[in-house]
Amino acid sequence: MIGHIAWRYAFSKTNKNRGVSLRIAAGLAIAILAILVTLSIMQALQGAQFDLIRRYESYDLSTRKEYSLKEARVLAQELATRPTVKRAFVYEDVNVLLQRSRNESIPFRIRAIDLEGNTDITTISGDLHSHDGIALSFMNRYYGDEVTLTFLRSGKQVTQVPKQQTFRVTGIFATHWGEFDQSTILATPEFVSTLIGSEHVKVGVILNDEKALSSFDNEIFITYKEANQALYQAMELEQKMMGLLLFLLVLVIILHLHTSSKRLVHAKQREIALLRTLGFEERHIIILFVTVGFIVAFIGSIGGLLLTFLFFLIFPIIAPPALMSLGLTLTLRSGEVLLLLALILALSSLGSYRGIKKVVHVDITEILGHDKLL
Amino acid sequence: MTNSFNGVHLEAITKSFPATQAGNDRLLILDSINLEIERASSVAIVGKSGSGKSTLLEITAGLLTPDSGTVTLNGVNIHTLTDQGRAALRSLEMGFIFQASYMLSDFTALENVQIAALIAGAPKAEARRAAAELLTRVGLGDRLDHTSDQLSGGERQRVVIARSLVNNPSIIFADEPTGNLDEENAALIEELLLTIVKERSSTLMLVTHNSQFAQRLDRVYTLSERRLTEGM
Repeated sequence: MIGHIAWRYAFSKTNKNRGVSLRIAAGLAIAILAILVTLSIMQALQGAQFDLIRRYESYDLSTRKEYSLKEARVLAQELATRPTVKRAFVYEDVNVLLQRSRNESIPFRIRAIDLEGNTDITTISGDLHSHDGIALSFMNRYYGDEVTLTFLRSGKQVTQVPKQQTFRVTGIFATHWGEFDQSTILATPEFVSTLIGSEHVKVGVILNDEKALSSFDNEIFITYKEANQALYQAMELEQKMMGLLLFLLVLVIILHLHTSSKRLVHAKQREIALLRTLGFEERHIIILFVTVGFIVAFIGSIGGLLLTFLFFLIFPIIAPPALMSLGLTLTLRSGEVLLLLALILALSSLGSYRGIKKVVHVDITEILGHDKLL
Repeated sequence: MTNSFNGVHLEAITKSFPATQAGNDRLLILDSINLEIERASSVAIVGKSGSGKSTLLEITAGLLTPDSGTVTLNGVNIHTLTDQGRAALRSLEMGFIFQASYMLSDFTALENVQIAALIAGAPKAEARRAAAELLTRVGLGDRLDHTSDQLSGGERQRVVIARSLVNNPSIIFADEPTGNLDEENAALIEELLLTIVKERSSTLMLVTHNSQFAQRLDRVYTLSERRLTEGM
């Protein structure tokens, strides 16, 4: 029965408070839509970004230590026989500066890699496996041009023993990831070894299924996420901060609910006194008005979920083609949604409770007896 | 009505209110009031405005706590009960009719009466049946679905009478039930209240300015100079 009375207090057509309840519910619905849509788009974009990084940085797992080229090739072959492994390969990154003109050098890295079986890198012209040249992407140099590279020691801004060398571009490649194309030079591991005078390479592994990650020895292999923890953490932090920022919207609406609960209790003072004469205890009155807040928040939450699902349905139609070309798939993480809704409902109930706690103690005789008390 | 109900007994009721906002001085309103209201009897309290009639009614109903003295209902001093106990008592044993005909504004006449029964624990169907029956009895059979703003003052007061009776209370407290009504409606409500109370053998405690109305009850008491005396 308390629920029935609460529903009327929130949404009855004769209730002046109805407009406020509807506005609060609509506000919550829009806030929930904003939070869920923003988070799901961010997650989808970040997922796509991670996918690109993983694909072109070329591994799910990498060996922690470096091996000689020969040892690494043996290990790669051995790993490739595992059913969970899609591809295993040797690779090494060497930081260089590419001299674009007399006064301009831009940072690049030479990726020494076995390209056999790598379908993500497309040959545009020439040979990407040349033993006497390097391959650049279509964005940087044309086939046959010469480029001058300054070799840097890993982690240093300048070389301890600067070494500069000019190479012929013997191949042009392209991928789907512009950032990779802009900053990567491809070469065979053998060619890079002769250039830097060292044969230390790692083995990268791409899995058929990411779930198989746990079957690899953590002491030998490092996952891409572990190797790039700072990047992942930054992206997760970005997502959390955005969620928090949007949650402020919810807090503002709950503050509104808190104030409107107070107003509703003031407006219903006589009815509260009346309900008390009919046998309502003080706690029943508190439960009644907390339920009003809960119902409004619940309706708003359901509205927010419906709006979100509607948005998901029309997203493929309204999304800009550039976004869709990334192959974005919007998904909701049920745990996050449930947490958000539980938080909203709990805060709404708390907001209502705080709003009415001090004003709910009605003096029945004062209210129903007014000036004829004496 | 509770079978064990054997009236209300007031003994040495004293009540004062702060005379100033600071509350240091107190104004004595009721001084050692004794009153016996027997089962199925009707008692009227008359007196000038400000004499403390409503205060006496509210103390008897457990809405106000006296400074001293006891109000005994069915052998229990109602002022020693908890909030929960008093709420249950109000719901099951008492019916209230106030001068202003307060209704729950978001509910129909039927629902207003029904809610009182539901709070007392009646099953929904039974509450609805009893509410409809009582509203028909007070002449509102064709207004069951009307809300308070669709009813006149007299009609609202009839809803209130029906609501006060729906749980078959042991005692009905009526505080100036015709005070806000025009002469015609006041006479109608007066007649209706007394007839139904008689029909149901209910106990009635009435506070009124209207001496004619008061004289129709079994006993009349006058509250004057903080004291209660029988007669007018």
